[in-house]
Amino acid sequence: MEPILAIKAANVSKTFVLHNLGTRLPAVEDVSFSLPFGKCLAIDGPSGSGKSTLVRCLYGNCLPTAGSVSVFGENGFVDLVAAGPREIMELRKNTISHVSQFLRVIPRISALDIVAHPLIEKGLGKNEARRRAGTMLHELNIPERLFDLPPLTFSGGERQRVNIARGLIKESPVLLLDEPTASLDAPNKRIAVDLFLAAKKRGSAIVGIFHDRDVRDGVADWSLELPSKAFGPAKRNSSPPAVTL
Amino acid sequence: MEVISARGLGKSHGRIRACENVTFDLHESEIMGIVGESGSGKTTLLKLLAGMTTPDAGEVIYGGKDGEKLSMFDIPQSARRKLLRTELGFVFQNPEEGLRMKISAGGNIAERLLEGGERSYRAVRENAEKWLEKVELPLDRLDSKPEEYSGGMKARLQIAKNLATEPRVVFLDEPTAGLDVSVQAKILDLLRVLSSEFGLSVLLVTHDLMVAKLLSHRIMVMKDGRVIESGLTDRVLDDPGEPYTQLLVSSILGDA
Repeated sequence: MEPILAIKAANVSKTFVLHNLGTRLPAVEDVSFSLPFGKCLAIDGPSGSGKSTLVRCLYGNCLPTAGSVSVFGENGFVDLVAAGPREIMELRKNTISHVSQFLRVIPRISALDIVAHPLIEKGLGKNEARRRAGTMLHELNIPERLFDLPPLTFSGGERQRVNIARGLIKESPVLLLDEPTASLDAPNKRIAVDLFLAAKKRGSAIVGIFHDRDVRDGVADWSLELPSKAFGPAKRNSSPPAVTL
Repeated sequence: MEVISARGLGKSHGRIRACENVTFDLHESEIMGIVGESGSGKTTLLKLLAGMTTPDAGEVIYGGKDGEKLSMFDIPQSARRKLLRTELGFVFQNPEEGLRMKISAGGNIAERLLEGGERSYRAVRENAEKWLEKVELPLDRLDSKPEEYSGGMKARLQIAKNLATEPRVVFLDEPTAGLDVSVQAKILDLLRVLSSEFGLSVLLVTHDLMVAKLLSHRIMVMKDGRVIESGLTDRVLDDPGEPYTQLLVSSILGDA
């Protein structure tokens, strides 16, 4: 049986045009891959090779200059390049979650409410959402005395775990991870890896940037190496990307 | 469901085009930010959308509770005023425009509740207290007059007053300017909760891109009376296409 694809990226390029500086910055050049549900693709490459930009293109945060990005949503594939803002909002509500390195939230909201919010937005009752958020925070080793405090007062590692909890709580079919474990210690990294593996087992497709080797090798099925941009324009990959289905 | 739709909206002040050909839909539960420098027409647009200023061109359609579509400037002025006292709320940049300075804070909120049809004195009092608490104003100041309030307290009182009738749409003109950062966070959270849990739709004019980024789902960037760029908030601010938007974003102090 053909695997069901979660993401199809075809010839994606992104060049940032900085009008006021009169420059163009090529960030992603001609990247293609497809990823089925239940699998994880790691995006590799040196710093500045466009890894984050590529992941942002998959979230609709960044508009590719060329190519197309399709994500399998509730009503079939949605092309993020052509989709309107409300279609992308819908996709983010029901299909795609993005976990970045940083937790950016309105100050003074408690950790529990931050983690519960994606569920409430999806229409779950407040009490049930908070109950599930508590379970999730427990799994990520956040002590209960911190639940009612805003994460601004937390350590870097605790904040990152709140961020992971917020990203995983919805059990989205598509997970985008941008160095989600960068500030975690070894035991917490292992917990995060287990959660990512559980998500895969449930059928989620994951695209991740993992600087940590162990995390990457523990979660990823395939990898896609983006070329360095340090020396002149990037060379086209001579062979197709490492993804074979 | 659309609650406010603008179609080709335009308004000139003398020879100045304050607002030109603006078209968009605001849906239930949605928060839309309007950003741009002062003089770009943000406040004019907000007043047009709220039915407070009559446009020279185009129309504003209000999607009522039971699904009826009202063309805002085809209905009598009295009906528009009634909407503004009940189902719509307008928070002025200068709180003194939106408050009666000589009657008590509680009286300001009560007035709106009574106009909205509330008849029980006790319910009015309790409701006023509830909203004062939600915007973190001390309850023992319920009987003080707004003229005795600080600027930030007046701003919060005006917000409380507008939210007290549980409107379906609120129009906010720089609601967090002049507020302490801690209170600002509280107000942002209050609006977010009202929108995500109670279906409130919000149109928010702000020059603070951080506020727009944290609160609004979509934004419109205005320059010289026109919407030059619009879309998902994070896409417009993280990947701006227009030179002017890029300039705005690059001028933020610190990391948004």
